[in-house]
Amino acid sequence: MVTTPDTRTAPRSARRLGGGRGRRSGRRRYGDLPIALTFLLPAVIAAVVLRLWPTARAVWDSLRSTPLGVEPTRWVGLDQFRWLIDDPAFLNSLKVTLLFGIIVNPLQIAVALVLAVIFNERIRGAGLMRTLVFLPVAIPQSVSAVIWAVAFRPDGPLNGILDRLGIAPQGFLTSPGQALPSIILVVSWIGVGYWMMFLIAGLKEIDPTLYEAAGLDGAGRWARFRHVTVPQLRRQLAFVLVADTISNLLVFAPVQILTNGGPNGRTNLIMNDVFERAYTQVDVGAASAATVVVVVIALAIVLVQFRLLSRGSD
Amino acid sequence: MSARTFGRLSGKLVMRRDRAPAKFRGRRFALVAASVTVLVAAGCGGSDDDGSSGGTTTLTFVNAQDPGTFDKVIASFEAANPTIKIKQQAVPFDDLNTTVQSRLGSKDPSIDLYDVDEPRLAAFAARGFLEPLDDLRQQAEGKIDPNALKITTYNDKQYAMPRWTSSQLLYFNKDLLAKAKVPAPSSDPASPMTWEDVTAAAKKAQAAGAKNGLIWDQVDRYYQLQPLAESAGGGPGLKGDKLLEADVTNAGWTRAFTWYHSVFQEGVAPRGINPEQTPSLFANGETAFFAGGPWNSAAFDKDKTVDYGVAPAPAFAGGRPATSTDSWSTGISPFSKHKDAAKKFISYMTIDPTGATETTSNNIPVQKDAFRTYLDTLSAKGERYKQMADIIEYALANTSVSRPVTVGYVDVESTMNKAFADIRNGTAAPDRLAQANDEINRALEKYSR
Amino acid sequence: MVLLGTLIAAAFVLPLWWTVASALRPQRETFATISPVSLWTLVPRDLTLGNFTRLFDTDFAQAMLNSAIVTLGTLIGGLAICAAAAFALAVLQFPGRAVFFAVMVVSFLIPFDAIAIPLMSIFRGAGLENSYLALILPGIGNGFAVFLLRGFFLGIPSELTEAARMDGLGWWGVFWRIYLPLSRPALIGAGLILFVFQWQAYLWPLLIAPDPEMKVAPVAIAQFAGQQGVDFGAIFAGATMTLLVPLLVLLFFQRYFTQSVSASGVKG
Repeated sequence: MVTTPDTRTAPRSARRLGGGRGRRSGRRRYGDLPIALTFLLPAVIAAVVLRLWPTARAVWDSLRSTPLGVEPTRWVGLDQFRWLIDDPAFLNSLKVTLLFGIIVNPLQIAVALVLAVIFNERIRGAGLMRTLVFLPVAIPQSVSAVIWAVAFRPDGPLNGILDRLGIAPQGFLTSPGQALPSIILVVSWIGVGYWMMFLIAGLKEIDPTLYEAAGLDGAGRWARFRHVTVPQLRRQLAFVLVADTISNLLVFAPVQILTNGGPNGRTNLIMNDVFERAYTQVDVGAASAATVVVVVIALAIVLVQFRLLSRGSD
Repeated sequence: MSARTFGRLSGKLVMRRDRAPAKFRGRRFALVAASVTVLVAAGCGGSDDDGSSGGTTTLTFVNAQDPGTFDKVIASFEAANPTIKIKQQAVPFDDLNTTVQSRLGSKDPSIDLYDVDEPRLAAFAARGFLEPLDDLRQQAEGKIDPNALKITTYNDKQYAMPRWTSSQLLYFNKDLLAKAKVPAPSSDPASPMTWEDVTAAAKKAQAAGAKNGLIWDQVDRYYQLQPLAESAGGGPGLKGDKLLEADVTNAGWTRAFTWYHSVFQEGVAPRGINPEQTPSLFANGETAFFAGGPWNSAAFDKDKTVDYGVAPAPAFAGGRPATSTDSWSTGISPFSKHKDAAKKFISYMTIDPTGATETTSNNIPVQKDAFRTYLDTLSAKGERYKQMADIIEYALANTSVSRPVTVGYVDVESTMNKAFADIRNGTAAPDRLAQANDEINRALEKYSR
Repeated sequence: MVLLGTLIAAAFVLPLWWTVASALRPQRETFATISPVSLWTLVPRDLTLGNFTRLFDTDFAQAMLNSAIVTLGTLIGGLAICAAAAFALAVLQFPGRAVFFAVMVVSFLIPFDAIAIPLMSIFRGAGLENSYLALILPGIGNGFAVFLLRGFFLGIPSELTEAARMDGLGWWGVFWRIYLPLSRPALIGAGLILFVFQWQAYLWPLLIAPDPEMKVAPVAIAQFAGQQGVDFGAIFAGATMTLLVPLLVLLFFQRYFTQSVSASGVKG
């Protein structure tokens, strides 16, 4: 830990006076470093030991190859990535993941926002209702997959309902065109209530007087939503945007159980591909390389999002 | 936040601080945090990976069988060997290979024995995850079915001891066939129906009201579908002396899976049903034919909704009968510290007639005495079971085809399972098989890289 | 609005309702009633507790307890660690803050399941296998939770901190007396993140804690999908049990959720 010689002599309040975020002036070199480290260290150690170090291992492994997934390994360097990029299955999984991400993220955030606004109203039983909407995330994903495997059966309840409405039966998971939308439905059923909860927490923070003021200005429902709710909710929306995008990039359990990437690779999301390389084929090198690709993509997404968000906040 | 809010907040702040000095509160937080850490640390038991204490050896046995499967054999083994205790780590069925491979890959010494899915044995042995058991092989000679011993051998070494085998048969719904005036298939083990006749009969049954004509137990799994290709003369789908070259585009494979495609295309068999749910289609009494294993009968008997008969597994017209086989074996981890004790237990469980019978559960043992006991017990349950026993005995002796013994089995299986699912769901067989052929070759490339 | 809300909640809960209904009837009836769709798809006709009996004949109760212990341990440890880190990142001024923030962000970009195998080697090397600590630890340093809390803390006016500092309050005091009490909704949010991570945990427990005494609920439920048949009734009964705990906890915490920040400020 770094020692700061200065802090003990200075009056405590003086140290911090005028030290609001972004407006610091005349601060000493190390600032609040010692105290900051005591706050930070447990989390940083956890992040480094439990996440970054094993990832460093994965980067190392990605440059080596072993046909059977065990020692001894041999150096192959970037050839590993070349083999990966040459693999049509991997390329396909990138494409599917991109398509999935473009649809599922805006969809989930929009639906979560609408639900948050509805369940934030002072209506009877709102608490129970939003708890029910949240619940799907609480059961094991393997069970969610079982439930939807039954629901999507060609002779199952969903087609039963369509039949009552006079609509012809659909293929759902068996149809190359409908499988990905079906997966999107399942992961949204699981996730939307979860993200909604964060947005409701944000809505609760909005000062009601802002709505009163907007109302006095004659703003309608939509105008109030547009000019009060959305800007006031910016922080929570930013969190949901980033966290939801990353979570969706890492989805695989429902895919693995419901379609195993099929039909014809149409639902082979990238993490399903990684999982199969790592745990089924035990191709440690290729699995690590694919993991590195996933992390790089995630990093790129988050950097772009942070840039957009910081620009939007000016 | 408005100035008004701020005023209220700081008011609260001042009020609160009157009750407890700030420093003390801060310290209390640290105290709480520390005590939580201690609590958590205290809650976790120490682990004894050594496994022996006070002269008793504890063996850890990883498997994916239903709870209770090994209770009997473990109890009698422990009674005869008071210094050895067997601890089971039961893993969900779908995750057994994943967890065992991952744990052995990091040289986990806490696994002594584990169940090996027989077609995966070659890869496990090549990776150094299995201890050679040639001394047990000596003991087993003449007591265990030679086919089972062969399938658990890799590079001329015995790497696991086979415990059970499996077979296939055709179940049919008597009421649905009678309603359609279709004669019941013969239960003579040597004269199976042809798949062509099954399809025709299934269509008639559907015309007479059956919801589904035909379904397989494991609709898109290599285990149950390999025999289709074998029956049509297509072989296991691999060629070359190490079986590291794909061969799923030959005439036999194409014939078998073009037919498989058409069965689903024409609605004789229903699409989009997971293998987990297929037995319920027959158990509910809405399906005319069910191709499955002897184990399925337990579920059909439990519900008592369906009156069914059994027949030998079908073959293609002009082709040879072929039935799935093999099952689980038990091996010893090379990282185990108790290999001798583990061998003792394996020997009792697989070679000793009493032990093998106690381990049978509702599976087919490969130990010869236990196999006889199994057939006799099954036959004694009634006429239908007598037929089932005869079919099983005949199929195991004459029509069984093992899965290919190769380090690349897993790659073939996972690729083909996806291909089967796609063909079932409507993709044309020749195209999809060609694609699978490329995918398998690409995956197998790494073994010669 | 009430009607709309009810309809939406009903749509979301329908699959779960079916799950619970199927936990209360024989498996045969579950599959016999899925088509054609009727009232009996959703209402058990032949009510039975047999699925629950089979469920609790196994070590499921122990597994539920383990899941609860692991989740609770993660909530307590994780909230403390994540809130402290978020506080430092949001409020304190020090060199390298951006680097520490980057470490936390990168940590949540990493697919946990993909690094489980190297992590397992580390844990086994430390002799942690088959312990609650091994199950809890990967859940506590959650980058998402830090990110969420930091965002919330940034929104708390710095004038508050300045006033408190002038009154002689130390940083721990500012954290404990100002930031935490004001951040209840965000803490509940962070709690949800930690809760879901552990309540859903599957692969990691399977790898690091394979002893039967350490089994967690999702693994115990998966064991009813055996190779010779799947006990759907017991699986649905197990899922019902895993639903019940969060349902009760959430209904209890609704009270805090409906308070706005300003309201929680006065009520205290």
